[in-house]
Amino acid sequence: MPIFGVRGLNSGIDDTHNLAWKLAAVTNGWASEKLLDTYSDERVFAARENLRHATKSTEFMAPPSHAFKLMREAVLSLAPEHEFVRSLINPRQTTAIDLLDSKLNAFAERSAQFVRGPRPGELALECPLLLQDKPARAGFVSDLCGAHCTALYFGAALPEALRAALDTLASQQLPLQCRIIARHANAGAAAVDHTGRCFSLYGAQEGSLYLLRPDGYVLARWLRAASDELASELTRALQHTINGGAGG
Amino acid sequence: MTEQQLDELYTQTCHAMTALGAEKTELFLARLSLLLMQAVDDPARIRALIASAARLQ
Repeated sequence: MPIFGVRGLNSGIDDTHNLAWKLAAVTNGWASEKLLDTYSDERVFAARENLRHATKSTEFMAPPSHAFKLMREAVLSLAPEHEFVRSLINPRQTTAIDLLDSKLNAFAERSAQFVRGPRPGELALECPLLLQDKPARAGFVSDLCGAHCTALYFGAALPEALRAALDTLASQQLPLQCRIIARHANAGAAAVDHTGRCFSLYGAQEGSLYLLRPDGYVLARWLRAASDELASELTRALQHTINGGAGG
Repeated sequence: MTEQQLDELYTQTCHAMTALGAEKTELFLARLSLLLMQAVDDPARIRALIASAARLQ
């Protein structure tokens, strides 16, 4: 891996992040061994993406031939006046690699109903929230996540069917925690979107739900679904994941 | 584009390269390529045009 873009160690950490929860899920008996195969699928893809970006940066910074040097000079001389060439100069610092084609992603047709927010295969977005600890304190979306899958429910309170489905999953000791992000403080909310930015960033409405992996990637999302459908599809999405993307 | 317009563009390109001199012509052509890529704004078409220009020895 070329050094430009600091992708070597950073993608190594992403590899570890990707593998750790899958290993834990399998060794704890929550997930099928097939889940481990998705580590290679996702991280080989990410490695190729990282190489592609890093190679482009390397070729720009250390042109391997006369032609690369000539084109670089052309870009640099045009850049002050022509904005469109400037992306060619971008050193492509490391960023999370989207896993839009991961087989762990579920319910694409549900996701398509959103007009914004992270899609399945993209990382959950960070946003300030008021965590409803005692006493309430400033925090972030990532404070609601942990060593488990997380269902982020946007709304005042869980519908009954969803609460029942979560209880069933909890009784099966599946690693899922539900966290409610409410617009206003209430007894059941884990956090309050006191700025209104979180609902907006996620394109969420009252009753929207995001299912996140332990490494923070979105698995599936529902903008608005009848609560019994939402409950059954959430269960299926989680089972789909722990089966390594092989149905469920 | 009419034949006359093409004539004029051809000549304008020749004059531009003459004024720059042989040494800077290469860089001029590289710049012009980038600007034309933006103007054409059609990756498939640009790929075909690059291949078509490169085929001739």
